[in-house]
This record gives sequence, C-alpha cells and structure tokens, in this order.
Amino acid sequence: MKIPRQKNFTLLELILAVAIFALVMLTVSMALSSLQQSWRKVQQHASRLKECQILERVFDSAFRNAVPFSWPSSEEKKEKSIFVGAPDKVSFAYMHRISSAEEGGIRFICLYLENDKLLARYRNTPILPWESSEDGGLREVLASDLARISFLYAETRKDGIGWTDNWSENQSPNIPAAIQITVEWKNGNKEVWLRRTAGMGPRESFGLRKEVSE
Amino acid sequence: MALAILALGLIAALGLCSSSVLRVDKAEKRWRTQHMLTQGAEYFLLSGPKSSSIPEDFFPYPDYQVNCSTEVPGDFPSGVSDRFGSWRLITLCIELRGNDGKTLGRIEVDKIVSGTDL
Repeated sequence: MKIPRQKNFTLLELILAVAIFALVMLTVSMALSSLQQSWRKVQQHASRLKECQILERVFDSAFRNAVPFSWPSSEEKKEKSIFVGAPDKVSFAYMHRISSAEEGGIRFICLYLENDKLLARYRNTPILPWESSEDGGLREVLASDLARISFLYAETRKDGIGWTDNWSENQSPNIPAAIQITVEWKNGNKEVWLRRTAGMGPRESFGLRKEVSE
Repeated sequence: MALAILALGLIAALGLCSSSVLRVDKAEKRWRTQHMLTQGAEYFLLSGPKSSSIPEDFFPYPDYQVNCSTEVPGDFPSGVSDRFGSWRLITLCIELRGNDGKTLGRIEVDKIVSGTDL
C-alpha cells in the first residue's frame, strides 16, 4: 500500500519566510519610529505656539489696559500706588471686560516666576504691595519650563523714552508708558513682548497731548 | 495583499504626520512674522518715527530687520487739515525684512505726532 507523502516546508522555505517577516517588521518599526518622531515634533511646536499665543493674549489685554490705581496704606495713612515694577515681577490694575457683575471693570494682576512657571495671579480686589499674605484670587500657569523672566519699564523723559528694570512707586505717572517682558525657556528659546500701556507716549498720556515748547 | 494594505496604511500615516509638521511650521512662521511686526510697531509708536533702528534688547531676532518710515496720509475730505497746532497726522510704515532684504510683512499705523518728533 502506498502512503501519500505529506508536503512539508523545506528548511530553505522556512528561512526565506522568516527573513521576509523580519524585513517587513524592520521596515514597519522604522516607519513607526519616524512617525513617532514627527508626532513628537508636531506636539512640541504646537504646544510652544499655543504657549506663545496664551502669553500674547494676557499681555495684550493686561499691559495695554493698565491704569494708574492707588489705595490707602494703613501704615503711612496716605494713598499709595499699587503698581509694582520689579525686574522679575509686575503687579498692577487693568481695565477688563465685565463678564459678571461681581467682577467689576477693573481686574488686578500679578505676573511672576515660580517653580520654572510663569504664573498670573488675578484678583478682583487690589493686590497691595504692602500685603503680607498672597492669598486669594485665581492663579493661571501661562508658560512652563522657563529659565527666567525679566521686565523693563518705559519712563517718559524730557529727551524721550528711558528704560528701567525697577519702577519706583514715587514715579509719576504711577504706571510706565510701556512694559516689556522677556521670557527665556530652558531649551534656549527666547521671546520678548513690548506693549504700550493705554496708548501712552513720550508726549501724550490718556489722550492728552503736552504742548511742545521747543 | 496584506503587505500592500500595511504599506498603504504606513504611507498614509507618514503623509498625515508630515503634513501636520508643515502646517504647524507654517502657523508658527505666520505667528512669528506678526509678532516681530507688532514688536517693531510698538517700539516705533512709543519712541517715535525719528528712532532709526530698534535695539537688540527689544528685537532679539538677528535674522530679521524692522524699519520705520513715515508717509503723509492721503484722501482727506476737503477742508480737513492733517495738522493742528504743532501736531500732525502721519502714517508710520513699519516693514519687516529678512537678511536678504526681502519684505516679509508691513503695517501702516496712523498717528498724531508732534512736529519736533518728525
């Protein structure tokens, strides 16, 4: 009796199949790794762009609408400007769109660096420089992974605009003509935002123009 | 057949990803151009059109230049003057250029300035 012969794979066929499979897997893994790199790049660029847009939105609305604001100091028994202009921190009042009756038309903001993050602290009541606690208000993280932030303040002088990194509370008017913030990220990126406050210039403030004597 | 489907899927995914990279790059470039123009406009609106150039502290983009020139705004209604007292309405033209001199963007802003600042 003749037993039918089973057709098995030869060793060569097996080696070939394994080689083809390995080749396909290698190609797929290379493609996936390149896909992952591209995706990571997209994510990084998108998040950086989003961060810059958030910063721009805050600086546009806050710096441009900054207004002079004074509040009675219980210690010195006189009204003092609440504007704080330090090299790495700024705090002031700005006109804000009224979205609810409780908020009012003026909002108070403090921008500072904490744990490598640029934070904005908002409050509906004045953020007073002589306050001992930093309670109350809302905090928003505007940017993270920062190396440093620095501010410059424009003061109007007889000969034009001068720049300082420390705004004294005794300066008049009690807000600068413009504020510039420099934001430096840990990865070496750097951006600057210069914004004039309430359209002020060397010869004008709040729509009033000084006559030129020269 | 399976190989063809796998290859097509991979090609489609790679295509989608590379088009996303291009779109994000384009959006970032557009934002940056506008940001640099705004930075230049803010500086020249603050310090006046007399300022010949913008210091590096305010414009830290070595591959680009921003310049300001002035123009007399036209199309005034009859009987309306572009000046009152020592003040005059002018148009500030702020242009952003690459190092090759190619204009990348331009903003025109009307501003009332003192005659001595011109």
